[in-house]
Amino acid sequence: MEVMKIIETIVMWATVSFSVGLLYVLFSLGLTLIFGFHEVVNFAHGAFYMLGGFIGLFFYTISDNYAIALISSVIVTMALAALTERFLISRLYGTAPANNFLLTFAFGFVLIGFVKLIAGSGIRNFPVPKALNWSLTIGTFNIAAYRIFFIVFAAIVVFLIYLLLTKTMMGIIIRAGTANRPAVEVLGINVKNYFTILFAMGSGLAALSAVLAAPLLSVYPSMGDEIILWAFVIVIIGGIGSLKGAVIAGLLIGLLHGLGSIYLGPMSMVLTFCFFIVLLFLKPEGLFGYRITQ
Amino acid sequence: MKLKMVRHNLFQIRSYLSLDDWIMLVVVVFTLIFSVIQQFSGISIYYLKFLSNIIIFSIFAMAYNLLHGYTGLISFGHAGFFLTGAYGGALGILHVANNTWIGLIFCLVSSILFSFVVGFTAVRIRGIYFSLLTLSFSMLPYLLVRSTLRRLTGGHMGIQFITPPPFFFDMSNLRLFLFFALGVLVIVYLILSGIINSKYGDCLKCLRDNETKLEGLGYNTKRIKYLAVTISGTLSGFAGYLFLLNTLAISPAMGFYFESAKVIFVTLIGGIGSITGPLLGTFFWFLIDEFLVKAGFVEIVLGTALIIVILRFPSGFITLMKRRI
Repeated sequence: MEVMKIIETIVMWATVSFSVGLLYVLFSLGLTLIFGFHEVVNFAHGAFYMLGGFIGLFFYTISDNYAIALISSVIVTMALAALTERFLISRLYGTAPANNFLLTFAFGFVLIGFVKLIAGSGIRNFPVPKALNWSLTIGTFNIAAYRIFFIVFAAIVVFLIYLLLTKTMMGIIIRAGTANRPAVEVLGINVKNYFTILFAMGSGLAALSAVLAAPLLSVYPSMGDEIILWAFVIVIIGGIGSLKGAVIAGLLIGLLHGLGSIYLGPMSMVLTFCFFIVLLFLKPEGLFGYRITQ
Repeated sequence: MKLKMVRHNLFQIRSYLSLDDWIMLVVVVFTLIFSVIQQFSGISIYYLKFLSNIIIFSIFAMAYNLLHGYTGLISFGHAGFFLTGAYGGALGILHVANNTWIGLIFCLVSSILFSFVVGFTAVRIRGIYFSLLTLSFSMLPYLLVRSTLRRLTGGHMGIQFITPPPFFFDMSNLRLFLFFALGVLVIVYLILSGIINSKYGDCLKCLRDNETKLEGLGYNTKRIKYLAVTISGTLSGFAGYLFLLNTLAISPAMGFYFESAKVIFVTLIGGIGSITGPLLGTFFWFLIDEFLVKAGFVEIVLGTALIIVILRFPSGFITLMKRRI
């Protein structure tokens, strides 16, 4: 009986922390790739996340099909992000990184304003897809099937991104650009175009994570505000521009949050931030970072 | 002939006072005139409180500008100092003695201590990492007062006072409080312009423009940065305490990073690198926030204004005035 109880607790902890952790991983992947490649600290990432959630909700109510909602949300967000990069963010390349930080913050603010204007500032419920609206019972504990779907799907997406970055020519150029951009430019590759693609891809990942998480967390205009804070923590801990770092740090923060929600309570967040400050002080380039940006 | 003399004298005053002095003068005169008009017309007494709020927030923004505009350190966690000062004062009043002076001492001690801690780690880090480090530091007081020290601080509901604590004047008289806040604003302005026009102020500007050069000249740049963070943080904490006295309430939301972004916003809009620029920016933000009622519209207008400022006028709206005078 005791053993059963322990297994139950572990399963509960694992499902909660892996779903939170994988959400963080998916969200921060885009952020860390953009940050690493062009020294743009993209504060609008949270706004794209929020926008993706709302676009997904819109298509879900029209079509009543979760797959359509997911795909169209990602595509629309990617198109918008590419336009933003071309017409707004690219204007400030070469100036201090802080300028882009503030510009993307302002742009995110405008996006939040538009969503509030159209959809109102209340919390919108995102229904769970019908095919996944059942739950698995282990002992006295229920695991929603959607949570398992979320974990599996997110893990597959992370694996696909890993394949894209390591096995394709585009991924190799992106990684090379993160490590040493001038060298890539010397080879005659147009880095600007790749950055537009990367920016769109990162924002698409934000939208994807929003639509995936929406049935669990619902959709509201300020949903990007808290997650982007954790994403910054993850990006710095993992090392800027590093996929491995983002995955490990994201899962670590997820585990800490899961642990916090069961045992430690709110103290876990304070501990996470203390850990973050100490790490930033000792090793500013993060666990798997390529270099320090000055 | 006489007219010419008058014009000449006026011109001399004009060149004697700087643009910042003129803006301060306009704000002081405007506030006094507004308080008189409010007395004799039907304007709600709420607007006196609103104006005090603007003045207090501009003290905060001016303190912030010492770091952003003059030292070139972009802190993304200044609301942490604000919250520390406000909660330090509130806890002093609530748990030690119901006296504003006791609260002031607690406020100053807590914000100086917090600035020491932040400054100690932050001066060793440059560029965008400084912003991220201050951002995460500002989450510490926020999380502490919201959840960890819940029993002492009232959790996410914050602390409310029903009657204002005793002070050297009656704080429930909103007009008197407005004059008090205005006086503090003028004093802070004089202190800041004293700092900026001193030799230390030149060091700060040099730090912003060329840190290596300052180091090469034999200055201890870390100590200069440390002092700047401490002055700015302590003044911000003091502004937080004034905010507490004005609204008689403080909640953890005042320390969320959105408030830090707000202070950066007003500084950029008004003009970094001028003492009163943040003052103009604060008026801009608060007036739009107050009188554009429709949800969402405020964000669109403010965000668009910030984008225009960053792309077109990197040193803020105050540059438009500089051309005139």
